[in-house]
Amino acid sequence: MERRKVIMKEQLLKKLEEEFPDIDFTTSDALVEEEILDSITLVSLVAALSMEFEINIPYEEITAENFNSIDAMLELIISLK
Amino acid sequence: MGYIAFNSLKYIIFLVICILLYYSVSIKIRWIILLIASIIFYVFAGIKKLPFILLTSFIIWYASKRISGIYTQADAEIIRQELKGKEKVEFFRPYKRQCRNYFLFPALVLVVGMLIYCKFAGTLIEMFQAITGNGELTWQIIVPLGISYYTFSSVGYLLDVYWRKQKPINSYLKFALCVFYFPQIVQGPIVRYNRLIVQFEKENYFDFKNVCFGMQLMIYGYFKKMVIADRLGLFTAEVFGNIPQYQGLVFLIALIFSTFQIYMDFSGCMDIVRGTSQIFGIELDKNFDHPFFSKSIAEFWRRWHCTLGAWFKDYVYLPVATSAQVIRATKKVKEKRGAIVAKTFSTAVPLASVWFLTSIWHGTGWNYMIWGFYYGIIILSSAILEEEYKKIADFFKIDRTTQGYQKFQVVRTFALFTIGRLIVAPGNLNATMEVIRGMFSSFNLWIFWDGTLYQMGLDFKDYMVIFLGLWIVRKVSQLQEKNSVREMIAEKNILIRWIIYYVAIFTVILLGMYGNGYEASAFMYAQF
Amino acid sequence: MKKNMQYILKVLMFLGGFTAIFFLIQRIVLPKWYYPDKTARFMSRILTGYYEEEKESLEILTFGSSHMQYGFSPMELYEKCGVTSYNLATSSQSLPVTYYILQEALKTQKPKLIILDVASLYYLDFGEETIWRYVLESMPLSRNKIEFSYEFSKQRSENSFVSALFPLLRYHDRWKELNKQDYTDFFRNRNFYSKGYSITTRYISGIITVETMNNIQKEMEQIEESLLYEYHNGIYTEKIEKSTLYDITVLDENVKWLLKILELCRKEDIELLLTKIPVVYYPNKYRSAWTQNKYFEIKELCNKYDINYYDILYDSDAELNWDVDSMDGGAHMNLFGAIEVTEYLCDYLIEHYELKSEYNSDWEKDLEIYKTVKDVALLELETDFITYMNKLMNEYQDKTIFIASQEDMARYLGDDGREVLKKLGIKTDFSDAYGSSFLAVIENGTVIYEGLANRTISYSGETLNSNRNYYLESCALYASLTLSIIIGNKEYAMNKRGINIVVYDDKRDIVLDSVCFNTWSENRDVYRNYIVVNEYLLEFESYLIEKEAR
Repeated sequence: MERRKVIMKEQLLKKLEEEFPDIDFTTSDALVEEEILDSITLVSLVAALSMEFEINIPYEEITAENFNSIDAMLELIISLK
Repeated sequence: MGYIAFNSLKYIIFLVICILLYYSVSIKIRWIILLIASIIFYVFAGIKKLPFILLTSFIIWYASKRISGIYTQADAEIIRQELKGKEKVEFFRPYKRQCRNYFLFPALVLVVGMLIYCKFAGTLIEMFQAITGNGELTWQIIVPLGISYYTFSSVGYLLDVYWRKQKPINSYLKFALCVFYFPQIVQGPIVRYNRLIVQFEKENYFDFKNVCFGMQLMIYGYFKKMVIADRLGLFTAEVFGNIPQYQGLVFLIALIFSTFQIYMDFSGCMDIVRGTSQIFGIELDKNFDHPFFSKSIAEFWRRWHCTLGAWFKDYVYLPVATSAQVIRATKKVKEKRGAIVAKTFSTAVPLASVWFLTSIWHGTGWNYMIWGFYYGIIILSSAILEEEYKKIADFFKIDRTTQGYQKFQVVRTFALFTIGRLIVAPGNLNATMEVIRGMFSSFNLWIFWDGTLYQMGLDFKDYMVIFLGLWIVRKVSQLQEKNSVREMIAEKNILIRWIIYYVAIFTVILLGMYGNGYEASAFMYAQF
Repeated sequence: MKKNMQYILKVLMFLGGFTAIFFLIQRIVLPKWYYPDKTARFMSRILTGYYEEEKESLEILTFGSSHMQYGFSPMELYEKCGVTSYNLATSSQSLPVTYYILQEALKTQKPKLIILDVASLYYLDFGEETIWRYVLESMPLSRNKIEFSYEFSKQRSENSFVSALFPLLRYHDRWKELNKQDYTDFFRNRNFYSKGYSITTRYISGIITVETMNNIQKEMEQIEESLLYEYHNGIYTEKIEKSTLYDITVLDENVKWLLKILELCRKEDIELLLTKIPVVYYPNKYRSAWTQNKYFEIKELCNKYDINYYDILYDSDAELNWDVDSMDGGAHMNLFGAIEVTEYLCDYLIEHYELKSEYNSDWEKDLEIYKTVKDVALLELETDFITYMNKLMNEYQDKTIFIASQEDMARYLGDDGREVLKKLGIKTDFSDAYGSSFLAVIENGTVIYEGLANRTISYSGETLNSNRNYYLESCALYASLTLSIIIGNKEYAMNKRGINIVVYDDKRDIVLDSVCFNTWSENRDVYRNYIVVNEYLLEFESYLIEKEAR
């Protein structure tokens, strides 16, 4: 279980690096509130994650707390996987 | 009984009575005073309009109650069965579907249906009559006060509850207060009921500073609306009301004036609204964030009518952009046409939805459709072509970080917005075409000194008032970017403070455009 | 608690400051309806002057429309029989306005008699906004004013009540046209020496006789059908309807207010006398023409309610000289008319009422001013050449007199004319001066220049006290066309054929009269621009009020 999580985290980081080279996701755990992620980036992020992990992120899950940090995103992906 | 306009004496009297009552009753029931006042305010606009808003508020409140009831039930079951992750999502799905099919959709259909009926039935019937050439409108369509605003707010609220982003409001009366709350009912801002209810429920002690600040904001609003906007309105009404009589630069001036006019008018009203609300200790969302300092159109629309933009973002743009269908389609496009096209597609679809709805929000004519299209294209192209712009700038060795370039960006945004005004300000597309034709028919620079500009309802003194007024608003905006102007005034000593207040109040009283207008000629020759 | 008190104190102080500034600005922005403002000269003098009167010092108050305003002179009455009165008539004063002015007036005075001109009984409505505002704005805030404002607002838009009480809201736009006068208004002399009466020297001879007026009215009465024949777009139509042409009667609404006034008078133990200042004009053109049928109707009305009525046109044996008594062809009196009307009224009052005649030192001072103005007014109304010149010689020795002739002034100057010129000190012999140009300047009774020529002649100089440059030019029959009498860059000459005269008050720097007697023709007709000349009078009057009156 833990190992799967680590693999997924690596996969996630790689994807983020590839799609959003300008943004450093690791510095903050309030990415949305600090407006590091604006709405347009958030949309691309959702699209990227959906395609990468083949999940369907329902709109109610697109909240600040679910996208504020890498770990939160990871939790979200796992819960939807 | 007529509707109580913000810039009427009736409103001031109404407000004073409300304030006195509000702060003289016990703190627990102050919200009831607001509810009663709001209903009275609404009834003033016409008792026939009341059923619509009552119905909407009740439907939304009822649906939200039921939805949250079902969710509570489901949550209890999930906890009991200790479901997690995917299982939890799977378990939840039928409950959600139930909510959607039995409560969310019917409620939305009813409420939005009412909005469409009230706003568009007239136009549709007219169109129908124009096609068939007969039939007469046998009943009068009532347009309830503020229907667009409260419908949008209510829909947003219900969606929030459905998406489990917000808790529902239990008491109908409190919910009704959110819907009816009189400062925001006429012109917005589009409020989020969940944010509003917290403020109604908190203990609103009498706060001298709050009341003073509220009044100051109102006076500033009146200044913008009555001294500047309504004065500019004389000019624009004259020009756009008599298009064939004018040509050339007059139209350009009228367009620029109309840009300032709409800003001063709308943001002035918002200041009055927010000021009023602040007196009661209720903070409403900002609707304007100095839009004319924006460097791009996208930024402009984030700073202009903010609550509408935020509403569209939360309830149209993001849901559409992140919906499974759009993501799936984007994926397909990406596989077939490559990443750039896919990006365009994924941005264009939600943007189109937003700007389609934005057009409808502002007006029903074709000119508004084109206007929406215009902004959609600008925003889309600047999002997609960002890289290209950079390259072009590099090619011409333009340094995009200099102050000069940023000033240019501000002016460019203003110009683009003014062109947008060209599409809608003349009233309809034919008029717009006429204005364009007229504008290029002559380069009549001489209007600046041959007195033409003094024949459109404004004399030299009026122009001075306008320019001075705009200058003051600009200065205040610049200060506001840094910190609160009202706080700055509050720090001054009492003499300076009072002088500022008195000057502000009497500026509005003397220079405001209201009443019949005094004409000496009307009083002449009446001596027998 | 202490903090709350502080807040309350602060708020009260702020509101106090607000109120003070509000009323200050309101005072500045209010239109000043008094001369020399040319729009509605007397309006705010009437009531403000009334407030200046000593308490309980007036015996009679008069009310009514402009007929009364221009038709009755309290100062004439005082001079004649020592009775103090005040003329509270205002433009188109409708009966509700009368009522509220009366209520206001009774706050400070206990008159024995109220005289009301009945023209307003025939009004169709209670008048335009201005008619009310003239009065409203000269009243200080009081319960009466609030009632008055409410009555005013009943006939108008919803905000007019507030704007009647706080006229700043009505006139705030006036900031654009504020001038010195608006600021100096605080210091103006509020005392109104002529007690509400508006002195005027305009005259236009009466157009029709009383008989013609009544005949026209009878003819109108006989037309009982409305006929209309139309040919329009190829279709011919005839419309014949029953409809009387002359349907002017007293409206119930007006009677209602008359009774309110009557009731008020009876309550306060004041006699009410209705009267009518004569108005002789075409009844088809002017609703207020005083035809005999109206007289009978009012008589009946007065009998019904037991009110005294004295009609100056039909009840008295008044023989007004309509050639000179009217300022506009019969509708309103000028000074001559007012003197006569006041005289007839005076006789009637002495006969029917016991009025106290008392010496009042303030009034004596006002009478002085009144006489001074009246003298100038009488000069301006003078139409006979010889009398005019004699007046100049006897009463205007301290003034500067400019004389210039156009084309000819000698042909019908006559022996009496030559005589009177000689008495003025002019040495020129006019016996053989046909077609000559002539100039003369007489300062303080001495001729300082005179010149006769057979072509254009000019003279310039400077006045003694006011140091104004003046320039005179006269034209002969065969040379040039126009003449000039320019004082301080302004042309004052009538510029007509004959002898042109400008009378200038050097000490006050005001032109008193500009006239031309056509001594070229046998009638020696007089020419004046009565509107302009009346302005001279008002300027003179205004000077006296501000500089010399008490």
